[in-house]
Amino acid sequence: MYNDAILKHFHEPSHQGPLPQASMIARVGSEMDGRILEMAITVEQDAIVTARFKAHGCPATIASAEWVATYLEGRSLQEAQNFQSAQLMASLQLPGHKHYCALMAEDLVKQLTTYDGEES
Amino acid sequence: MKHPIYLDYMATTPVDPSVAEVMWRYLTPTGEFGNPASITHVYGWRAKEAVETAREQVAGLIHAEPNEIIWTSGATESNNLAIKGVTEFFQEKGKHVITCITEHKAVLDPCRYLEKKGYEVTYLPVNSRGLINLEQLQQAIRSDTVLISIMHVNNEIGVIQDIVKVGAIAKQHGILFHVDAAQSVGKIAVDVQQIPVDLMSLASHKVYGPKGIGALYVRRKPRARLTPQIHGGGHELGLRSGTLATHQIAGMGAAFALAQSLMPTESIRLAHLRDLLWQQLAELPSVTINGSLQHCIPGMLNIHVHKTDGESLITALQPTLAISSGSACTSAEVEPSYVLTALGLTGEEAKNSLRICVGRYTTEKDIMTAATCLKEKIQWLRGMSPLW
Repeated sequence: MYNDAILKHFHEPSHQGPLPQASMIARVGSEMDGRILEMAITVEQDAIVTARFKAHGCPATIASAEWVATYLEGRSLQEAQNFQSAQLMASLQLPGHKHYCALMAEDLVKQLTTYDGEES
Repeated sequence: MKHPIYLDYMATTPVDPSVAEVMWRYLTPTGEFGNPASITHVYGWRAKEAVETAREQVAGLIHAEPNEIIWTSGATESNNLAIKGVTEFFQEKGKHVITCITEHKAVLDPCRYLEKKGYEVTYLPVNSRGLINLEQLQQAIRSDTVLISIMHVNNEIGVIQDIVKVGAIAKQHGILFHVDAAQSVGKIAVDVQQIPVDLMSLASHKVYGPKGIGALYVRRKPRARLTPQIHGGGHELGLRSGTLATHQIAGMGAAFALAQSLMPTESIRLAHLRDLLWQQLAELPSVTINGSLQHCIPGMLNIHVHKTDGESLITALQPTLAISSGSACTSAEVEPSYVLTALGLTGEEAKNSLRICVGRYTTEKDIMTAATCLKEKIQWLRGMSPLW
């Protein structure tokens, strides 16, 4: 059983799907682990304009992807760099055995925001 | 809140309203609430009468004699009584038991308990359809084997083991044969006159009877010997002490009698509903059956939805459908089903599996709603997955 915050993000995501004009794409996890998070963003003048995710995994994984996409949109890359898993854990009230979702999200955002100048 | 469509009939069934009506008669001051063991007054006599009628009804469904039915609290207790009772009785003869790796925990855990007590247990593997190999069974038999315990119908994949042949092998070697028939009795024909079985566990709540009551069939001729595990009054021919729960027993009896009369038509209807659902789901790519429809009871479908997380699928379906997954939630994580991994599925594949069971109150409209919802949610999850 999941709490309402997780269920709402899981049942009603609005950021899923491809992003053809993506400036950057990052991916964490593997099929063997049973969870993958992929995030694509468009960036204009160091600000994240659009974020779209693809996710495979449990409801908490999908809810986390939706939460992160919402979090990223409208933020500067520098601001997003400060993202910490604890913020997601607290906001979705992830139970202890689902903390890995937030840790994956942190890795994902790190990959996205440590952009080295090469387009993906 | 509207309840979702219930498609988890292997987990449990609702009590049939006619059964609940029978049970009510044995509870209240105006009913037959007496203790069946009270022999000095009419309250006790009438309760005893109800218990014996139910014993005949339960025996009738499996073609046993009424005095071969021992009341228990459910199939778990029946399995415990059979496995611990037989091994304790025959401990001087030998300390080896044969069972199968896809048995219910109510058989596997008593076997693990026996192992701690110095017994040896052989766990037979199954093939990709979930069936044991009779050659391997023959080879596993030793001079000190005292019990073979094989389930009739598997609770997760619905596969039917050939217990007639297993029983014949057991008989040929003079070994007692126990069958956990919790998932078969009431769904398919079971006749202990045709099956060389010594002990058979029966459950009420899988057959539209109440929870908390079950029975163990104990063959009289030749007599299956076992040591009682619960003491305190010598009820049930000394095999299971404890005041009999008249209302539960009457409910189980009524449910079994009803199952006997409905089975011929119900099994055809349930097979039709299951086939209809599968026909719909088979339209999707990469959805396959776990086990084998050819060897499966009617009404049961276990599917592997490839590259689609089972927990997410179940959660997405929850507002509309009540079904079960190929995994078990422990406090820390979701564990893949040991039954499905025994068929050769990986842990991830097992987690991406669903058990769908139709039952007495499932309608064709329910099936069409379920099929639409399943297809929609599978496509929705796959649509947002990087694997598709």
